[in-house]
Amino acid sequence: MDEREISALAVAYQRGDERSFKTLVDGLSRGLIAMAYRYTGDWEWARDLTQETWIKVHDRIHSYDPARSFRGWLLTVHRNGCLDHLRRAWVRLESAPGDEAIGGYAAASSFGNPHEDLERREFHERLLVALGELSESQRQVFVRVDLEQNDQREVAEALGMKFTTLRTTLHFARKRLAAVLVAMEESL
Amino acid sequence: MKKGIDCEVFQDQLDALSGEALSEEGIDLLRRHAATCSECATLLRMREHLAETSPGNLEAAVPGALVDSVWRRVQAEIAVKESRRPSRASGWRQAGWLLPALAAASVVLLIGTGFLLGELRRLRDREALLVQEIVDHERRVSRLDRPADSPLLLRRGTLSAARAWQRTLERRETVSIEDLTEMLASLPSRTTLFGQSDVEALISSLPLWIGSAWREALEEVSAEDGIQASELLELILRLDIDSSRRIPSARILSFSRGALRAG
Repeated sequence: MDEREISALAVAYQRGDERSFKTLVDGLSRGLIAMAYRYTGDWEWARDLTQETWIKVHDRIHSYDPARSFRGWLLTVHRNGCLDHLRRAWVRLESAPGDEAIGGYAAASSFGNPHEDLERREFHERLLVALGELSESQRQVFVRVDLEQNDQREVAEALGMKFTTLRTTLHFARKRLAAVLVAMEESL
Repeated sequence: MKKGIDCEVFQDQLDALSGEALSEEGIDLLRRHAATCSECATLLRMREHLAETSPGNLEAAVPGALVDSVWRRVQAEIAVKESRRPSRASGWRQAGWLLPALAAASVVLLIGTGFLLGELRRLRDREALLVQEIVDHERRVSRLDRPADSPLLLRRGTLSAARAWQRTLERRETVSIEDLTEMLASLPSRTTLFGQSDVEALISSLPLWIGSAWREALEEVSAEDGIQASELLELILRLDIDSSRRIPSARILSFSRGALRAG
């Protein structure tokens, strides 16, 4: 589905056409699950977060401005949901360190051999935990650029910051994360 | 041996790794630096970990069953939420008094409208009756005012006037000469107030102090058919009787019975 088709469906849904909502859910859920997977490292969690996002869209569709990109609005809602999921996990980890993993990692990864998958999942989990140590602006830049793999210039525009500012923020975010991850490795 | 790079240079070059802008030699330099610096090694690992799968590849890896289940789960959750939310229908149920109240108001409005329409019809009928009465009255008045070409009509008109005169006197104990002249002036001139026998009885009963002029005048005006309204009025004016003088009504009436009986 291209942007124009997506926006037309969103406007139709805003006017009460439930079939348009189903078309949007069916057409965009795969991308949302993939995005949420980067925040959780778990397909089930990713699917649950995607489901929550669509419920929020259903509840807030009347606040959507048709003059703006529906996909952009949808991704913002979804990203905020994913970050909220991480924040809840960070709170849990603070109260009971090591008690519960961020994503659970119950589902097997689709990539590589089981040993590599385990190492990758464990590293990803530590990375998500380390995200909690960043400032809000560093986190916003890092998740959009490195976690979601978006173009740096587009992210700078979306966040309303200069490209050089974004580059500097990203640089310090990575350094901070690396330091936290090293500390976590050493404590194992 | 080639010269190594420091952490700043390493981190500056990190983005170039995924863009394939670095030569084999450049990548080798980065890896050799990473081997000596734990922080830069972690940065490299993080970079490689996140770049391992492009968003497109990750989307393709999403299990199809998960995607298929999203709409069903969303639909179910919305249905549960909608069932918990007070619906419009339940709102109507909560305002259960509203429907009976509206029904009652409609009935009252209907009855009220019917009543008003009935009243309107009744008033129109009454108006028609009153108009008819006015028309009839005007017709009667015009008939009375018409010159009496029919003896019967004339007789009926004067008779009713004589009765009206009698009723007026009956309501009063005494009547002054002034009132009497006004009453006589308002009567049809040919209204017979005293019959011939009445006048004779009147003359015979007159006290002795009444002068002969009265007796002669009465005999003169009543010579043929008693005394009529215009004749009595003329007589009073001619005799120049004191206008404030009052006469008992019963006395006048006692002499006018004959006229009425004759009618």
